[in-house]
Amino acid sequence: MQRRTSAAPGEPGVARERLSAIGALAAGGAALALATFARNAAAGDDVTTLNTLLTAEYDAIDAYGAGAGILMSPPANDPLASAAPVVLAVALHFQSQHQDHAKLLASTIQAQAGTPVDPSSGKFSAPAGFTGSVLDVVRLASNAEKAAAIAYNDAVKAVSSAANAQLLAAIGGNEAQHFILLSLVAQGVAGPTMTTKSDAADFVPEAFVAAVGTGTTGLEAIPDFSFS
Amino acid sequence: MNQVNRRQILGWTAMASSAIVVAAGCGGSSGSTASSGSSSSGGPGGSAGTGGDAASLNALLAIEYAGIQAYSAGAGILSNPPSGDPLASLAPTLLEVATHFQQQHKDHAAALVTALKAAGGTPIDASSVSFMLPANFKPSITNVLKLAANAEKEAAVTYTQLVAQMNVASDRFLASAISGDEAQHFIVLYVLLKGIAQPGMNLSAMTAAVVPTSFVSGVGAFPGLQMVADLAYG
Repeated sequence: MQRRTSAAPGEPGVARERLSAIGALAAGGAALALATFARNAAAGDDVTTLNTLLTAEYDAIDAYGAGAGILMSPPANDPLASAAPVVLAVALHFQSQHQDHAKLLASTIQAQAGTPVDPSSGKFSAPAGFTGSVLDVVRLASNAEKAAAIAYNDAVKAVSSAANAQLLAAIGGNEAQHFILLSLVAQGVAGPTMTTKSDAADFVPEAFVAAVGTGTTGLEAIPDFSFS
Repeated sequence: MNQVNRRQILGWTAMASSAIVVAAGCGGSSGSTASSGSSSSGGPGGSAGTGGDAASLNALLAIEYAGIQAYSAGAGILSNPPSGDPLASLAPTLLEVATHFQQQHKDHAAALVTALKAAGGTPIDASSVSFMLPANFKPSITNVLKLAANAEKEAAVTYTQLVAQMNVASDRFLASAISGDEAQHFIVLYVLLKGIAQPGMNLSAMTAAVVPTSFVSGVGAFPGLQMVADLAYG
């Protein structure tokens, strides 16, 4: 898979390696590369770290777009073809949350006098072995979300600003939620119901674990369950 | 800790009979209004040697101890559900999941204690936290799930908020690694309770896969999601 390897204008050269590493995200199985990036990120270089994660978000948005294409027209003999509309509704919801992450990362970078990478930096190519089935779309998303959750968590150590660390924690926890639900569905540990499609927006209801600034909401906005 | 976070932690630990005492013990630099406990730098929540993070870490440790006890209370109900409970047939599987989540909270507590000690702080004692079911709680399997979902949500939010108040990068990392785990606990419980997901055919055989690691990324000797193999294609 060919990834963008050139640094954005004004980025230090070291960013190339990080972007190259994180660029493997959409291919799945990139957790190690992402973790390596986070461990190696220089303390105090917050904008570079945020831009690396922004690239990962653009990758994810592109990957979900590609997955949506498959889900809208699954292979004729796909045993899960009937489930494709349900998976599509969830995939588009998750993609929307990645767009929320990207928007906030970009505005945060700008607020710190940085230059956000361009959305075109996210490019998806199917990983080796990917068959284009409905189940493989779920597996691909699960693998990518897992890698992203780890990368965000590791990047918390790399940023110097406490506010940036909180932002990364709030996003990383969201991607961990994406991961676990996709993983459970892919393994038959959990399954959809009659209302999954109509209530897809409730399938991970907030894009951030906690609110991280104006215009964002976190799980604080979700009412407690009442006891019956 | 600031007013908002103290309120949230107190809200979460409202189930604990000694919530005020716990918060006071975790107090310190933020002006806790609790009536007892040490708030000096040399006390349990003091900042000595921890970059000022001891109060936050001890507050989170209190949440973990309350969570561990809450899961024990829930396990008692799941082990012997009320007669006629419509979910009784699921109770043994849910008990396995609840015990699994409880073990992860024990791992969180152990990591928090390690972090506090390594930085020269004094962890609060588990005995300083005692769990009490909410006044309007009626024992049923659904209510156990609701209790856990509410608590996990509050914990995930609190952890994330406290990241912004921590000074030491490794403490922020630890809090983030735990927060993401508790966010996973919450969402699994949430989608089940909302009826937008249901147990799959493999649940009873794969309860350990329901949030497979205690931390999102590995923390010390505790593994993270790095140890979970990618799903194979085809």
